Amino acid sequence: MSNRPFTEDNFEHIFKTYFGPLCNYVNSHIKDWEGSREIVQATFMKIWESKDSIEISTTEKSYLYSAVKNRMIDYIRANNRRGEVNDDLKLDEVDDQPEVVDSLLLRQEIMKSLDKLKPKMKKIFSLSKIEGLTYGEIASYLDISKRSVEDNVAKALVILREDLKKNELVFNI
Amino acid sequence: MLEIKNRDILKFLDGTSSKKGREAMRTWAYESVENAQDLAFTQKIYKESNKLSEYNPVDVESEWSMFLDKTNEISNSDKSYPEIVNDVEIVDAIVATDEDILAYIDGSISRKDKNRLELWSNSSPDNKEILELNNTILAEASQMGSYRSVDVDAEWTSFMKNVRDGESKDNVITMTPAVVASTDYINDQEEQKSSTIIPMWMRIAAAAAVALLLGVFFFNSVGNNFFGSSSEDIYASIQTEFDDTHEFEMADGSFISMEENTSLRYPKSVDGLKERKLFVDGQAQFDVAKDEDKPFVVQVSDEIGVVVIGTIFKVFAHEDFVEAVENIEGKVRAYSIKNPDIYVDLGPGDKYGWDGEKFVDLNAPKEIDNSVEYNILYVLDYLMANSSWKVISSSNMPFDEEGMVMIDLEKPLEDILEDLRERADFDYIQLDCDNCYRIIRFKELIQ
Repeated sequence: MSNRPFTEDNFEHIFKTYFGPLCNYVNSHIKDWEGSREIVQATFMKIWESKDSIEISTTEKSYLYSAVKNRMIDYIRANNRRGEVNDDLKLDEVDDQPEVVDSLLLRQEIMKSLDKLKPKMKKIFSLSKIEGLTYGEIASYLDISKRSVEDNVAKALVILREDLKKNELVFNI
Repeated sequence: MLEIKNRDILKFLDGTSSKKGREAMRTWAYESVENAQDLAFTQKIYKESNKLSEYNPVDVESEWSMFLDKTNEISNSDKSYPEIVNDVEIVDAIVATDEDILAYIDGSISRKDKNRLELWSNSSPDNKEILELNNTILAEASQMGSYRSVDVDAEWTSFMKNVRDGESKDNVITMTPAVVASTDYINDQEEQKSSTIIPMWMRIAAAAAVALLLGVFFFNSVGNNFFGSSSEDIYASIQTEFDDTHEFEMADGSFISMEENTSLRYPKSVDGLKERKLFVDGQAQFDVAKDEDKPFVVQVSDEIGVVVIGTIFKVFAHEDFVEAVENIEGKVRAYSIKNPDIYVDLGPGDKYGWDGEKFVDLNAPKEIDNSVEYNILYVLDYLMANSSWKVISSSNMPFDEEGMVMIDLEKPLEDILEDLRERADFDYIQLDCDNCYRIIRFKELIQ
């Protein structure tokens, strides 16, 4: 099975879906956010230029993953050659699998789904999961009961689950 | 039908449910496929939610418009772009096995495979290198009959003896031969490996980059002095007295300020040198002229050396106190001469001393000087590390703060945090105890 997944029509959608996860993926290796952005931008540009001829047998996701990964490895090599000794840039450690993108994609979609929660619930869930506050800390900061904090987090999880279930991108992971 | 409340699921995931609760959850999950799926899916969301602090949100709209701008530039500029070999696809589709490469080199490859391999080789300089390397090895292998083997161990021992003999005659170079031995030997080994096992070669090449770099420095400095012309031709010496200081510019444009009672040896000219190597005893500041081809190496004592490429830094090396290196701007690496594996990379503002065994962070969160500017993240680290307060934040905060602040520790903690908040992209909330604060990454969460 092979197909041409990149067309002028769906390019924007693919770009906006994967840009964030891919950027986070590159950044986890090179620890340079601007550099990560440039690598992902350049990869998309390369694909754009040859989108009519790209035929793949895998999914667009794993294709994007290998494309970005290859470019990142070139970038790391180039840096090493230039003699910029940077311990963060170790090629050996780039031995991950396309699944790493799944995790990051899921995180992005969770972030998006958060906006569908009621403001207070979103705040409580985010303070707990993003900022790492304990239920007790949230309770005393917002001056509500710990039980109410737990209820909010629990309800938020269910709402997120139902929302993300409908999200094909995520449910197929 | 068992009824499971949302709270029960949360407790189960938090790991705070009772034994009975856990069993009920399992029973519930086994009741139907749907329940099992729901639980598994919730678990997945829960797991990733806990890592949300590591996720950097992206403004995709602005990234997309940036992208569009670029594509427009391309279509607007009239020149047609050269057909770019789609390396992405090649990486995906074209893989060259060792057998392919061998068949290619000895000519037994099929026409189809030959085209494929050439495409592969042209797709990246590294692939090309691999192919060429193989070619070379094969060509060399056919010449083996005329090659006379060497007892490298014996050669090495004899080389080392020469090095040691040379050292006792030259009291400037205090580098121990052991260092030269280890680093250079390692490099040799890596190179040997690289020429025999190809897939390993690529990996080793990267891993060895650091070792190589240092190895080269050591080898050069020894080489210049032992095998080159006499070091006196290359080097000049300056000594400052107890009550004077001296500033001057080196031939390469680097600016050096020597404090009192300091001695320095430096190359009179950098022409033909592979590196700019200096020896200092005392205290001096170096404002290094950029020249990436000629690394700037300062040997502080016989214990530590400093490698640097275009930056400003200070070194202190007196017999009666620890050798210290302070970085003011740019990139600096200080390493142990006896064991180059022991090193520390200094960022701007970092200051390290050598305690005879390891590098010690002299800026460690022990004291903050009220009259000195610090990086905001450094200040946050300091506040978090100081045990008389409780300042915490979620683990992986991808802060990207470059601002510098001056803080006054006499002020109450809240005032300090307030000052920081005004300059940086974070917020904080007070927790339920005295002087307990939590740093909040997303300000909008608490507004």
